[in-house]
Amino acid sequence: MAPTVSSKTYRRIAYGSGIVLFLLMLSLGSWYWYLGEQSNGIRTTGEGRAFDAGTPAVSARGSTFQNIISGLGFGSGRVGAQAPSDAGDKISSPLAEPSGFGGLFAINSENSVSVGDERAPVLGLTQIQETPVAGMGFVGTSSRLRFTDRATGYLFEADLETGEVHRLTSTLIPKVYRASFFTDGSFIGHALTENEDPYLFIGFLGTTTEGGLRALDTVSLDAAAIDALPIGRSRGYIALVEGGSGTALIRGSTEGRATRVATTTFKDWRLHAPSENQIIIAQSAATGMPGGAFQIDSGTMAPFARGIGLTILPEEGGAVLIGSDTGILRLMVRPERSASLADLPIRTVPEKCVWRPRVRSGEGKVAALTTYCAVPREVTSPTFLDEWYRGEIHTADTWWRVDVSTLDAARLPVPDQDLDKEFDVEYPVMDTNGRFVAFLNAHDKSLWVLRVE
Amino acid sequence: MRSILLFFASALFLSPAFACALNLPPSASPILITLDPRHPTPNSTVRVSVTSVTTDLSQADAEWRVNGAIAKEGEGRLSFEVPVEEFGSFTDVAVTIWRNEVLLGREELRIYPSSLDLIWAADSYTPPFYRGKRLASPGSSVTLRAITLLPDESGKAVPVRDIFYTWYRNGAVQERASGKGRASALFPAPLPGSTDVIEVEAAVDEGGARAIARADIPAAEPLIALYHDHSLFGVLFHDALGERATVPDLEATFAAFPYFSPDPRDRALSFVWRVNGKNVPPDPAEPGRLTINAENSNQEAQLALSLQHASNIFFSAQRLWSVNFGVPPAGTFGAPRAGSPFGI
Repeated sequence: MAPTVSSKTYRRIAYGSGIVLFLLMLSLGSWYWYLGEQSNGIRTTGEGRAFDAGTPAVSARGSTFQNIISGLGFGSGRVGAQAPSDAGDKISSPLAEPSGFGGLFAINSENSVSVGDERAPVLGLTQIQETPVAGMGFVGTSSRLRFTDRATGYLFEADLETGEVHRLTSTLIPKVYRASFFTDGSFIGHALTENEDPYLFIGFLGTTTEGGLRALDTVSLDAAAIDALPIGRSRGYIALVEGGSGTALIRGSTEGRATRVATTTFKDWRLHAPSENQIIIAQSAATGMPGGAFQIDSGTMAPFARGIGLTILPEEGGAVLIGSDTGILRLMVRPERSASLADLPIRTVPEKCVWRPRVRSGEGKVAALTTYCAVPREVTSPTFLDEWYRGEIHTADTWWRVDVSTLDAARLPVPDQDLDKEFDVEYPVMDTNGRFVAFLNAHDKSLWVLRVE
Repeated sequence: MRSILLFFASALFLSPAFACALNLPPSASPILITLDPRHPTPNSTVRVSVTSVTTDLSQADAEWRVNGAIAKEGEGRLSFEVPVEEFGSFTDVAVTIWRNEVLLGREELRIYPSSLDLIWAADSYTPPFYRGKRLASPGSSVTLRAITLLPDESGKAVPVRDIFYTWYRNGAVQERASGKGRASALFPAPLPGSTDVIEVEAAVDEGGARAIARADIPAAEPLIALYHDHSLFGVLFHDALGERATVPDLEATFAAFPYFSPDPRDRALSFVWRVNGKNVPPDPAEPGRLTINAENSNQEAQLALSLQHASNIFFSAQRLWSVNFGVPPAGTFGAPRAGSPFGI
């Protein structure tokens, strides 16, 4: 006779199964919830790192666009600016008075902002970009200003005569700290490796396009290059390469191999190349420390300038601004190589100055030797150069025009004088026509343009 | 007897004449041209002066010629400035001295410009893109270089390998660094609180061109700067945090960079962080980075960083910061705020 299972046993089995099933469902549910939370976190992190993101696209409503728009007369820092009444895709509110990039704006593509039919040149002082810019330069003999966005490495172009700003490239290069521009609009970019060593590259417009934007092709410079400047044509450059045994000066371009121009057992130089045939290296400066600058001539170093806390700004025609920091700033000029030094009546550093081109393109006449300088309203630090280079102090500058032949200096009547805004000018550049000065504000690395003529 | 006496008498009275004749060779000039500076540099000016140890020139007439042309003349014109041109050139200076139409002397000199610059650099660490000079902190080394332009007899530059360099450190000859062609020298940095005086003398053979240069090298104190390491823009080297700083976010990453120190990647360099009095162990991969999340707090942090080096007993640096989190930027976007890091 087969054994039978009692009802009591059935009940126990049923209850036990039910409890086990319940616990199983509970644990599975808990795991489901936990895994869901982890997935959300990973997805969020992945989105932040742009995983599976396509080529970033610029739209009219993007943050970069907003930044640019805010600099075109609608943001802070613009004299006479008014906020647009219609924040839709087409901005049609005219400004109360023509200023900056003009009164009427219309979006004619996803990648640009343009003025309607009116020519609206930059007048006075205008902010081009709010967010940090790595560097800028004028293209050829035009009034087009190209600049590199620091966060993305994107290349932009602003036409200062028409008020148009275009983004040109789609290639993402994060954290470009510095950019020096060639006359053709390409640039030498400075970034950092993972080990926080500097690495330099040349960025130029490629041939492939996507969404109306071009790729940015890059060519790396020598891995040990610490500084480089554009020189001559055809993306020629001069670079300082530091190694264990000293420093080499190399000359190259994107179209050929680099060649060694000079070597020194010494390090800690800064590079100047006012013209293709003038290469000058100057010792990095410190307040109160003697320094020297030397012109490279057939591989040898010929004395060029000397001084305490020495900084220089050579000019392609042979003139040079010489700054001294002995605890008090002093600015001098030497109009020609054989001339004596003459004191200028302003106290600033050559790095806040820019030479006006001697020969104005299109007119062919030689202009009087003139320099534009941003002059701090006051310098209270006894170690200005050291602290300024470390980013520990900033200045509030006003713009001056200096006639080198008469040593007269005149302050420029710029609207910013009335604004509660401070400019710590650095890396000023001038167009070949001598009309615009573009510069970075060292407070926040924003990009500005001042029309001087 | 009489002839002997006559001989001695004539010797007694005539010897002064013989002495003058013997002491002064017929070609010797009683005047001398001096230069100030003694070794003029290219593209400069030099003061030329005429002196004499045997003749009073105070009321004499002088005629100066530079490269054959009269440059200055007149009574009492005993010095004037002469421009010196590029290296490789020379300037002929000639002076003629009269008094009451009697020629006192004539002298000429050829001036070759020369230069000796003494430059130095230390091998201490500074952050990337720093535009300033690397200073000599204790424990670092200092390289000096004599940039020499000395002319030979024809005015051409003497090769460095043919120039004899003598190095002095705090007045003492450095024999191991000195020698022919030894235009560079390496010395340890000065001790804390002191200044080393380094001199170098460059000479071209006996009687050839010479020049002396000097450099005072003070000991530098290492320091620490703290920057916001922004997720988009990288390290904001342009805006160091002051003693009291604000950041707009509740979480921020800071990057500490030493100046004039050993390389931060040197494992012997230790970073000791303290936040609100509590030790925070550094990230072994990035000991100079610190991320602080100020949520659920009073949003104020007292940061302290101390650097020590295991083998360089002279090296140490420390600094304090007080940081307030979640403070929105003052003024409009992009407007600079003194003392606060950039924030978006």
